[in-house]
Amino acid sequence: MTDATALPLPAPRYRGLMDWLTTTDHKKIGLMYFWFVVIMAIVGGAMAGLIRVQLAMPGATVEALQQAALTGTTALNLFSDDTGLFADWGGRHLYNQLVTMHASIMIFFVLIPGFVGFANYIVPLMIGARDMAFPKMNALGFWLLIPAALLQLASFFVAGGAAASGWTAYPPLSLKEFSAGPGQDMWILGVHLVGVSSILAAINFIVTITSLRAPGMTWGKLPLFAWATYFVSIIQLVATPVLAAAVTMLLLDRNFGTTFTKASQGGDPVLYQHIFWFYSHPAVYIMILPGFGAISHVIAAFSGKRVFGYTGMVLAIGVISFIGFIVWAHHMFTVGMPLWAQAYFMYGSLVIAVPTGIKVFSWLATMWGGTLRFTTAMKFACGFISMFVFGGFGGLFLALTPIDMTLHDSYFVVGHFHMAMVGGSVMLLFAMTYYWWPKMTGRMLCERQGTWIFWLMLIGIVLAFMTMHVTGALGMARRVPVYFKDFLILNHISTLGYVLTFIASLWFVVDLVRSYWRPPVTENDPWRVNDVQQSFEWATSCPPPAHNFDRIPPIPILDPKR
Amino acid sequence: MSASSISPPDRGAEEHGAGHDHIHLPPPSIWPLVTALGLTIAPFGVVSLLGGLSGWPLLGHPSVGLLATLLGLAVFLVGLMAWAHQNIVEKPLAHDPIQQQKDLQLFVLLFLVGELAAFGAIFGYLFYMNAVDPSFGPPRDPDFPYGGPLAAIATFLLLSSSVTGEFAHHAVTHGRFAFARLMLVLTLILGAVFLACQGFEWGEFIQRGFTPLAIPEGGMSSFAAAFYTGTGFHGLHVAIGLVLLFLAWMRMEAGAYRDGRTFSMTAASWYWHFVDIVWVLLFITLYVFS
Ligand SMILES: [Cu+2]
Repeated sequence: MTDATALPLPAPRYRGLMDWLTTTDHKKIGLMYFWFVVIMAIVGGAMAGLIRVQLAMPGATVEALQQAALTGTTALNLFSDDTGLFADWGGRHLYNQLVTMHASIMIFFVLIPGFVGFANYIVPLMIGARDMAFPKMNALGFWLLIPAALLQLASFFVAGGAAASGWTAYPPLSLKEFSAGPGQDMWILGVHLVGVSSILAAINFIVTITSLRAPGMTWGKLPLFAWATYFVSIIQLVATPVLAAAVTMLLLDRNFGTTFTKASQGGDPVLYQHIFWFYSHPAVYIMILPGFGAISHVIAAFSGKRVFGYTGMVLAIGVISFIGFIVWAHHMFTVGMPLWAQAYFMYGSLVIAVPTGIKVFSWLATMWGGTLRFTTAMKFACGFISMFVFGGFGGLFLALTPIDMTLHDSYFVVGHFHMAMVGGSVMLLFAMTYYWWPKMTGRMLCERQGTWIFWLMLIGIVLAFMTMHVTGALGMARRVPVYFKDFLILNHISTLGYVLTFIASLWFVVDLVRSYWRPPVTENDPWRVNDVQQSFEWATSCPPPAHNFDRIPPIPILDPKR
Repeated sequence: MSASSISPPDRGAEEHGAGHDHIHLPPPSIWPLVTALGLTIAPFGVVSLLGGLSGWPLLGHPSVGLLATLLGLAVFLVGLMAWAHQNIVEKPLAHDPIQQQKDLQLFVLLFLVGELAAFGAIFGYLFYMNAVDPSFGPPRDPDFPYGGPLAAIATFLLLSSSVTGEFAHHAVTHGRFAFARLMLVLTLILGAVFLACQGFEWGEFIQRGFTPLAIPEGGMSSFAAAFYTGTGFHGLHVAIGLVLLFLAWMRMEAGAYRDGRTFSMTAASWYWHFVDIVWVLLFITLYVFS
């Protein structure tokens, strides 16, 4: 082997902005994903803010509105059609748009690309590759997110406003009769572009992990984050085209008079729901499984131990990915499926608790007896486990058909998936950022502020989303901007929780920006991960050079099974 | 602790001997951005064309929307072609040509898996509707030429083209370019005739009132939507397959396959087989089961 430091490197052809616009470097693309996601998260979070402010208004109760109507006064209410602050912008219709677009932005432009961005930066490093298998396709995958986001955001400024039929776009609500404006069409085209981006990224990861692993890194030694990315890419590849097909049916029904989903002419709106959830149940795994893989590294690193139960962890991710494809209709228990189908989808969904439990217990076992270091990343990891387990239990309730019949479309469902997606995925993204930020930018995030941010997040999540389980169980309907007076206090608590998480998130973004002015990290491995683990990404500089490794890390790969 | 140590990531340098002793990095490229730019302009053009952007400067007029759609598609195609050209020019830079070919082949296979999933949604639609709705189906009139000899002939032609396509692929990989040329031309003709049959059948159906929006005798039109979307989406793939085969032919005539790197031919032929398999499945669900 020649000494790589003496090898000639091709000189970069562009500088400055052009360098970023033309880059095929997985690290630069990963960082662009990251910042894109941060911006979209602020936009989506602000939309959630408007929703939460409305729900905390004393004038949002049915009683207050009745009182106001009787006395001829106005109730303090943002979205009422006649006197609300936003009445000129569409009133309650605007509320529907915000609910729809908050979900769409958070799902398509934050959670999914968030993990793709991290995988982009970290996976090639982890497997000892110079780049992704198809670097230009990788760049295209990122660039396509921008027109997708532009389409969906610009739809607020067309006649009739943005899509307002929920992120599920169920017909007939999403058809011309009820959503006449072009916003729904722009939403569909945006989903198409996101889909193409997802599929390109998925193919790229599968090929990269299959073929660019460093010699000696057998499948049995592949780091868990790479395994999780691999399985998630398979889900993305198989499920995303189905979503594209579902929304294409809507596009045709809306604009060209076909009758795929029009019951009056032989179509079937329930079938749309089946096709939609065939994508969208696996999609929740796209939004969390990569983090499952990543958090194993974080927990092991700060427990001073190796990952417990490597093989079980890999199999659990694989099993979750597979079962995820055959349980979709647990979102549709109330549409009138035959009893056998309800029973099947109920038991199928409950089975997912088994591999998920294996993962949770393996994380705990990784910590057991370790030398724990409660860095911010580790705090977020522990916060993730506790919040996610709670969210998972909510999922078990909802998977039971009879219980779901009563809780369907209530705030219990909203509480459940926000517990899983914010308490789960977002906590994971925070943990991953604190862990890998020094690797990605060569700067540390502030640990002391991180502690504040963590506790604000955790308390905020508990207040906002645990409360929603109660609100929903008591009977408050989701997607509706008014409610009965009895829910007032509970909604105030949820909004207070929201405020705490939003403050924490903004504080976090400020710290991200400020970190660029901190002194550079000089060591390869500031967390001392490789004292125990031997992970490739910690064996090169922070941030790594364009070619990732001068020479392959001079450490033997430990068998991750031990 | 296992004893295996790590060797460099550039396997090519080790496995394929000298001449590769520099670090290969992907060069920068503007074309992914240009391609994405095309896909930014085109959908806004489409929305404008559908009359959705009234009140916006410029794009408020559907005629500008039409222009923007065409411009976007043009930019997209230019981006893709320049990208392909850049890849061809850069090819000799790659570290490990054999691995690169394998990676590209895996790419094509995975892409086809994604395509199959999209077709799967159409099959799912047809199966589900057949199962739950007895009125779902083609025109009932026994005199209506649905599933007649034309469909059978077209199917036979497409199946034969798959065989000739495979002959062409085989000939290219073994360097018998004259035979490959013959087989490629034959495949292109068979595929084009299949498309013509399909178009003729569509024309006949539409004349008799079986349009994408309606079924004669006032039947439920959801079958019409599924029929025309399924066959149309498949026909689009046949057309793309023909373009790919044609490009592979041009590459062959340019002498690109003399060094044994026949990726584009392999890809085109796999794509063609895929189109064929999907047609068989479609034929069974649309004509035999319905
Ligand atoms: Cu689900």
